[in-house]
Amino acid sequence: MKRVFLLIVILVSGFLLSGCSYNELTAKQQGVRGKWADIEAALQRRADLIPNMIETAKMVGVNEQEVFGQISEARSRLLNATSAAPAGGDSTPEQKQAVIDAANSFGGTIGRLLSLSENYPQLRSSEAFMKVQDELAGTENRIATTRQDYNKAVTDYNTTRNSFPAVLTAGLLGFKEEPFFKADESAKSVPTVGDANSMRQHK
Amino acid sequence: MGMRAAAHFRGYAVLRPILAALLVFCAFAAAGIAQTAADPSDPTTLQPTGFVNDYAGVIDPASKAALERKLTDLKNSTNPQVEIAVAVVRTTGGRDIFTFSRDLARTWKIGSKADDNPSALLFVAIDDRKYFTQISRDLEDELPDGLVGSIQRQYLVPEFKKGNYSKGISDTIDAYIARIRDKGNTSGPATPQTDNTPKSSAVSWFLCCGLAILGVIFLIALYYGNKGGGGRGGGRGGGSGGGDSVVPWVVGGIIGNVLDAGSSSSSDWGGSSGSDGGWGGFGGGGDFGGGGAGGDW
Repeated sequence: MKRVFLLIVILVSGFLLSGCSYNELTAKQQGVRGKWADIEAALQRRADLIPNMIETAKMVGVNEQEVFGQISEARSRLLNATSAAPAGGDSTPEQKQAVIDAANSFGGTIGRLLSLSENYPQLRSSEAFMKVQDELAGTENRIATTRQDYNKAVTDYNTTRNSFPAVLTAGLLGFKEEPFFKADESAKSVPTVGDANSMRQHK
Repeated sequence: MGMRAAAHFRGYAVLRPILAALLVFCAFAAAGIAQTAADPSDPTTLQPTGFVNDYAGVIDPASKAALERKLTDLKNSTNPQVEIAVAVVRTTGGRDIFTFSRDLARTWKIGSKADDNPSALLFVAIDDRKYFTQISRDLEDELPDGLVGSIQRQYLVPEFKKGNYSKGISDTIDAYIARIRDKGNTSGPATPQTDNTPKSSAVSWFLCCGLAILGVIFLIALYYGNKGGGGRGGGRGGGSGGGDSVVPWVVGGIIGNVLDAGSSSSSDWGGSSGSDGGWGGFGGGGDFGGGGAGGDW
């Protein structure tokens, strides 16, 4: 009898304690949503820029049909994934994961686009191309930055969600674990954007 | 019962030196936090001394003063206020220049605290031969990445190739400022914002000081009150009295450290900015989301 009573006390106090963490969880979830919206904006920017970049590259005589094809394919995959999820960061963890996968499906193609001026020295004298390249590099920098900020918010949220006492009731209250935006492995093998800038070395 | 009380008392007497030691430790820890060594390869340890921060010593004093004036003027004549900072280092220590300069801009919190906080940081690593301009989210409309890259290729790179770092930097800044003014950010009350901040910080400083002084007085009163009580009772041991006397010293030490750190850091900022004494730190924004462009020469 005494043991049952003790158990009840523990359960009730655990539930009450998790009530305290509800507000905290909500606040942190809002943080994650805000950062996710930033990521979507940056990804959208990338998708908008790519046709522009390809057009400019073609205009100055770049002929890389294979890279252009891969990029266009990845771009439509990304647009499909982002349009499936509601805008504004209310997407479920599964929808987020789909967008992350689509974003990573660009692989190293962006890096190759950014290093085109290596193989085509004439591009360096085209201010129009250099400008678009700066825009694309800036977009990649934004994606990297928002990804870092998002992951930080997710770490914060997931840690709170999975630690006592919130873990007892988080599932019941509908607080799901949020996915990390992991960088694509194949993208790691190509130079990062900072290095892409350095590839414009004048030798 | 009497024996138990005596044992309890002895336990307290043993604890007291430990508590005193803890307080001493805290005082030292506070002193340690107050002094941060400047490690040039870590963006978070660099301290700003004005709008122009030349850690590599490549900008001549006249250009630096002119730039400083220009950037102060820009801040005071724009609404929303635009803060542009310049930082020149020898090297980023192998770190990516984009990440380094972004972290620096965020650490310094360049830009005003308001919702609309357009700001920028022109960052140069001389020995790495690389440059990058960070643009805050609210300045991206005026200075999109492509334009920032163009301006730097036009004004900064050719001068840097000739070794004219001062000219390259000021011409680039001029182009940024011209663009911001072209886009219509020219109207601005010059005085109100700049006057308000030091006043309110002075008020809070006095408030803080007053509270600290009240705290000290309270502690001293407590100390003497205790001592007097002990004297009347006559039953206190010598050892415990010794433990008591440490406390005001330690508290005084902590307060002294804090005051010292505050005054020394403020004199640093005022001192090295040189000609104008108006440097009061950046606005507290730091909303940099990855905008801007860079390259090398």
